[in-house]
Amino acid sequence: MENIKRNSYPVYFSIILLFILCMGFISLKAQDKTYQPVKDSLLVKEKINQVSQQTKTITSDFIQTKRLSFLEEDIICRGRFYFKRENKLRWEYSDPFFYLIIFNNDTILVQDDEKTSSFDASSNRMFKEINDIMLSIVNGTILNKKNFCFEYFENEQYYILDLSPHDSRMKDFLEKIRMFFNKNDYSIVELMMIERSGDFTNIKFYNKTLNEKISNHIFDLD
Amino acid sequence: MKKSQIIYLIWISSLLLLLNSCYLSRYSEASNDSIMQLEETNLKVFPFPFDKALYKVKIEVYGNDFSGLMMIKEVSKGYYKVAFFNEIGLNFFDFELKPSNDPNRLELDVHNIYAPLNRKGILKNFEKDFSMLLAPDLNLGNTTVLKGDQSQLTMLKLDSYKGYDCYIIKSPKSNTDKEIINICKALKKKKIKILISEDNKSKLPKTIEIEHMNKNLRLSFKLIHNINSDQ
Repeated sequence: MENIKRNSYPVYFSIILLFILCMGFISLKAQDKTYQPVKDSLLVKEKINQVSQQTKTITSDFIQTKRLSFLEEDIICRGRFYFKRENKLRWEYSDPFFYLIIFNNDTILVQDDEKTSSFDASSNRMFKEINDIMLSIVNGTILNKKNFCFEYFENEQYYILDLSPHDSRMKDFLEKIRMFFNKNDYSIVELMMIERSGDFTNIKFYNKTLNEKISNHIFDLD
Repeated sequence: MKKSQIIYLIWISSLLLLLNSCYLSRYSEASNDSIMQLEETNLKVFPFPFDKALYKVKIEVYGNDFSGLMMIKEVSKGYYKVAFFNEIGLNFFDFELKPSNDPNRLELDVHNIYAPLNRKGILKNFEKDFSMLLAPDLNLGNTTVLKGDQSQLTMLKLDSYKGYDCYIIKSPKSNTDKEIINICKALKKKKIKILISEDNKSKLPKTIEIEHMNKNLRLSFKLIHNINSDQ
């Protein structure tokens, strides 16, 4: 995100920086109460990696909540999610609108109630980043990426992994990715994409099934 | 280029300019009776007051397409907040619209914007589009009401900060409920055309199509009924 008030940019930037520092301090303080830093983060990483490697397919329903802090509104969408190793993802939004986005290797297919389009992921930087992030989150390879800073936390139910991108271009639209893993089976249950503005998108997965057969046709658009 | 070809091009250009220029000449000033029948609320695009509306929106701008959801919220009288983000939830922009001293203008104040959309020209166009849609100065007292050749067409001509904004109701030609045209004062030439169909239940615009003439800029809105925002 880029602020357009160019004349007051340095002042504005300083205020934002102070705000982020304050918010960081406050959020860490808040986390102290419920989430503790993980003592052996390498062990957690290894376990998550192990489970991810064993996961060949995922089918799940999801609820996506978009927080618009500027408007003080939440917008909730629902849909179904499919993953097939290595590089196939299908996000199907059904409520309150229909929208389908399929990542099939390097091709992105998009369908809404009006038209269908397909394009090369590399042709659109934002989509390419989203494609890479989404796939690496689901297949577990994000834990080995060097372009993120990792922080591990835990509470009674979850391991929480915070990923902050090093790349300033990625920070244009993503400040942090927060992933929640079930402590019992190390599978991902919740995902948050936090933007610089403070807005975030939270995706909760439920009715999840692992390693059931999924036809390749699910990732085609006819 | 041959002389005959140049003359031909000049002739065609003049004809096109003439055809465009004739837009307002199809209308004449309406009688007092029609003015009495015409109510401001009939011309307003959004019901007054309104809380919020969620749209599926597509913006085609200089060869790039941006699709996603747009929330428009009236925060207080004359003050609006607008947020546009893609389906996955990442923001394209959010901005505020507030009253200004210029006629029929809401001033756009950007809060956040995705870099490829952060161009002065694009933002000026967004400001004009939303000013026309939310019409801060749509007041029958300060405007001219015109009646078309076809009796179904009634137009309210408003002096705007950029040309004239003309609000038309029940245009049978476009098969939409409302139409707003922005006309350049000097050339009497159509610059922006907005077609609106109304949702009978909510009275919110069901669809909005905004076209900028001679510019590669087009916005399409489709109302999403089921907003689960309070769950």
